[in-house]
Amino acid sequence: MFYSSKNLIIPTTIAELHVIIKLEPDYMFYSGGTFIMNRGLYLKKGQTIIDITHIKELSEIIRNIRFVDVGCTVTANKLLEIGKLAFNDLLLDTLHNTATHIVRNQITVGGAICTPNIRYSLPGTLAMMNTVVEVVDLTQEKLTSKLIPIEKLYDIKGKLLLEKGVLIKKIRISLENYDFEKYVCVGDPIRKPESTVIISFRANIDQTVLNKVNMCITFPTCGLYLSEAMALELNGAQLPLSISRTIVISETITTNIKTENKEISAIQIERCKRLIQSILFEIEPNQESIKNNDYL
Amino acid sequence: MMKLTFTLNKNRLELLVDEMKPLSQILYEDLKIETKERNCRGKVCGNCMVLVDKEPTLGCLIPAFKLQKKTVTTFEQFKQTAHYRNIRRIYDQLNIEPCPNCYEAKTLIFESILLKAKTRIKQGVPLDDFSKKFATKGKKIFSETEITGNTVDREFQISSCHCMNSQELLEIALKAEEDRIKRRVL
Amino acid sequence: MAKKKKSISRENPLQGIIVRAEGGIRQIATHTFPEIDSDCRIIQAKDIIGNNRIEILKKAFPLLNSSTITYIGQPLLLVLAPTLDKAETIRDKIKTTYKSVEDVKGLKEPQIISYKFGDFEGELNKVSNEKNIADNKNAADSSKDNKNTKETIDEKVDEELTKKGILLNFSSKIHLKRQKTEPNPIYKVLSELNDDILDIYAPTQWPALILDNVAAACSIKKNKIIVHKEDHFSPKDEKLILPAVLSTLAAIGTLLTGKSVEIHSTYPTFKSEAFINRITWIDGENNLIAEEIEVTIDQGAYPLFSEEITRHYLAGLMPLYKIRALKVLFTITSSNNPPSNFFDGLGYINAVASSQIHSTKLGKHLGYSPFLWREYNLKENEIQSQIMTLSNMAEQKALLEILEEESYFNRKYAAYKVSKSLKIKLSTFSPYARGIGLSIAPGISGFSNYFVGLPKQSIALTLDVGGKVEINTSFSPKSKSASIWKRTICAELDVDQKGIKFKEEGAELKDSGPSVLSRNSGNMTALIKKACAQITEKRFIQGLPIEVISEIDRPVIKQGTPYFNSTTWIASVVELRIDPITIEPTVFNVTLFCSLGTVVNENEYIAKIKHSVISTLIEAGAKLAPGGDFRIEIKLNHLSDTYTDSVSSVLKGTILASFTSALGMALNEDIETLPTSSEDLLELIKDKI
Repeated sequence: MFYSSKNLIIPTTIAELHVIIKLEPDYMFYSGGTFIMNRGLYLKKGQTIIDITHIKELSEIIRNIRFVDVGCTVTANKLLEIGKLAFNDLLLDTLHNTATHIVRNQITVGGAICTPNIRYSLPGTLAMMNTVVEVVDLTQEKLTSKLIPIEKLYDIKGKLLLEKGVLIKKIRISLENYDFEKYVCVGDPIRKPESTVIISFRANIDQTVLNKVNMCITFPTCGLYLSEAMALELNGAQLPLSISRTIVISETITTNIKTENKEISAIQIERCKRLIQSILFEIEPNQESIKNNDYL
Repeated sequence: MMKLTFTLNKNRLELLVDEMKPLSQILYEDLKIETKERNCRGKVCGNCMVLVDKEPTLGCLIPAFKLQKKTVTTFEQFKQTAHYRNIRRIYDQLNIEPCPNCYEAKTLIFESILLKAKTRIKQGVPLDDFSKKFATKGKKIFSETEITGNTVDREFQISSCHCMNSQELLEIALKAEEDRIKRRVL
Repeated sequence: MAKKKKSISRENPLQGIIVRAEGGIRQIATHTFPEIDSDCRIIQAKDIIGNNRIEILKKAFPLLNSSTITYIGQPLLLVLAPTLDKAETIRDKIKTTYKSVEDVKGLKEPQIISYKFGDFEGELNKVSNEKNIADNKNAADSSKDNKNTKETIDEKVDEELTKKGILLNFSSKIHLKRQKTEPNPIYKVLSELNDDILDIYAPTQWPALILDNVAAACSIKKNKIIVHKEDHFSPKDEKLILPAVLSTLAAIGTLLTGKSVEIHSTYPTFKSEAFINRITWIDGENNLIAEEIEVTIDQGAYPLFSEEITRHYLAGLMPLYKIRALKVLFTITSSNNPPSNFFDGLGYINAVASSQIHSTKLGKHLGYSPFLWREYNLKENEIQSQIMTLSNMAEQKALLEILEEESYFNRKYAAYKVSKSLKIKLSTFSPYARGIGLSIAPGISGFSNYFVGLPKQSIALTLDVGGKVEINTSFSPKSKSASIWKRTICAELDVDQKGIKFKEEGAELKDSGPSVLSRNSGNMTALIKKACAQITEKRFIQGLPIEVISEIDRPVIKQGTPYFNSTTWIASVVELRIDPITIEPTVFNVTLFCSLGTVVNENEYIAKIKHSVISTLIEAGAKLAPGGDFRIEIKLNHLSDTYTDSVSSVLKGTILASFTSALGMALNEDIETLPTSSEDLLELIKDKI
């Protein structure tokens, strides 16, 4: 049975939640609560808060050889502790850098994905790892779940497309490992999101050839970009990459991004370009290219 | 409104508050406990830090309904503990301390770093063995419990006051850890 | 610390919130108030019993506005309710209608203040023909838009002028942006009525200001008001004016409702915006002839302390090289920005920074490194002695040499100049954008010798039986300087420190003036020594208790009295590199030499200096190198046995100057706006990357 007061409801199963949604006209899900409390969103009077942290299904972690299912109310710290046994460095890096230990105790995976108009670090890394989310529409008579790639949850400007009444039950993270993985965050996503760029990158290196290149660029106020152009360009590329090629790739990507979304600031584009250059250079530094290049 | 029962600074309290009212506002408005900032509205200033069940937490992020039957310790009460005295001792030894604006917040952040380090200390094993226990092929193990420059930089991001540099913060954290081991204040 | 009286009503004071103007600058038409309970109250301008204004040193501004809004954030109403939630709800329901105004009235005409030292025109005329300069300047001006042509004309002009031995000039400009307190502190002020005494509890740097304004606004006698100073930390002197506004409103609320009132505010304090243009006239043999400086300061809607601000700026703008004439023109403007009168000093920091930046650029223009320029040109001259008395410049030059050795300035400067030859700035692959900056300046604290209207800085000291001493001053007994005062008394009167206490708040508390601009150090110690000397004369002759009043003697203001007396110097070197990915200046080395008086605890003092250095760099837009890569070295050189004056302003000014010079060197661009940001830097260099 769930606890209920005038403004707060705490269901213990998805079925109870299903019933509550039909009865409450105006509500907000409460998971970790960091975003709601931080932005003062709790201040809207008359809105019902539904605390989903007591629903057991949403806090489970189930693992098999190919993927891990993580409930949406699992905290970032919990994921970090368990994740040491299973997850790749990229995801662990991302979680580690998302917030301090104090705040990570409260941040939940579902909450981190569902922030309304701003994207932080986790969605980008998960999108790049071909993560899918299981969503359930609680407004329907019959509860049915479906799996959606995480990048489809957002529009081109990063706004959350989930409709009211749709709940993320869990995320399914694949357990692939890559030879080269990198997570970088430049700027302060909380205090200065308009000048922040977050990049998650990974690739396999077979002898000196790059393949399975994947990258996701996150601009907190402007959206996620999964760079297919880069994948096309780099898959099969021979290492080390020359400086001029690195520059061309970075400029192509940033030009495409700028064309798609003019709201991205000049500093973000510049930082993005330089980050891509430094990541590609880091895979294998081309010393010869530096010596010979009159670019410098 | 809800009836909130919790322990504040060793006193058991019952209050009638809004379910979503943040802890920092409850302390400031309902209990008249002075804080530097009760809600910076998204700026993450770090100044509302308190201990909830001995864990440092930002008071502006905890709503009333999450406090049911919990123990809350404000900085004034924390000052009576051996853990605080340990940190204070290091401030005096090194002649470095945070400015009055962020003294409480930074001290509690030190406390959170030292509590995490405690895990490794209590295990009584050197870091390498701890890592080996969980290592798998090719995996980078996060020595989260080890106090390094990166740990300190990351943890102190939560405080928006820039009165100390990374080196000073690291020096204090390492000396405090050493002092706690020596005096068995764990 | 005074014991606060407890009253029943204090446990549940009414909570007050100020309703502030939002939206554009316009005229208030009507307020529509919601229905409120009997225990709530909305106070308007017309409800104020006495004066609806705050007065400070004969200048005033409105307390609650009821007509044309002059700035966003201007207080309009005060809402009182039993709880803060309720007060916020009432505030949200208040509707205000406006009508637009064509001309916003109420803004003052710009105030022009000028200073002249030496015969400016005469000196210029001595060297050149004035008409020639005007003609050549016009020729250069007319081709301003065509850069190439201007350069050609300038080259020709320079060549011609040099042939005739006529003047050249070098100019620089800097824009210091408006800033505010970040993050906003909470101000909490409580007012309660006990019998017929009004008790005000506020964090304030000048209790007498609150006393005067509360008395005027509430039409009650001053002896019926007691101001209790709450603990506060105000490193930028931000608690001078705003607490007076809040206290006055709280007092009005108390008198109108008969209940205690507690007001909460997170309104920031602002720093004025300033534009400084500086031209140095040089003859054909690179001798410095004269300087002309134009300063425009925007103090927001209600300028205060304007003349004193110009004196502080003048002190900072004073050239430390020998020059024959100086002309400084100040334009103090008002605008529709929030008032920005007193924050982080009265402009000395900005002025020192701009002077040192100009000095470095001037030296570079004439072919010198910043160190060599200062080594050859740091000289005393008549103009300096009219503005400020300096301590031992020759010794500062010697210290500058030691600083250069410690920081390897010349070597690094030469090495970093190499980056100029790189085609692409800030390459990700070969990042080498580094810079090093140097500056040196004298320090001041307190108001100028010409500042009238303030009460004399005075204290009263009472020696009683058993070696008990009572200090009567409105300065906070909890300030760090208070320990210095106690030590001084112990040393002078040979009493135990435990027997020294501060007088409790009351009608007899001596007004020592505002505790701003570090007035609680330096001068206060001299005052205490003077008082102790007076007591010593009367001791063993006169019976106890002995009470003496000690005041600072103002210098007789006659022509030639310098504006300030400086007893400190700071020289600093800042080294940085530009992060090629984030495009942020990352400081990794700071070296400081401080010449000052005695300090009580050197390690503690150095720690405080570090705090100031770090916060100044961060506020200027810098990042500190992570981990152990950031190095800061501070050396103190004690010039005298007396306790030192504050070095806070000059420290911030020199650090800002060194940082800006280093940044300009790293980017090979002139930095003309402070504080900087990555966006600004990108704008500067975008054509070159």
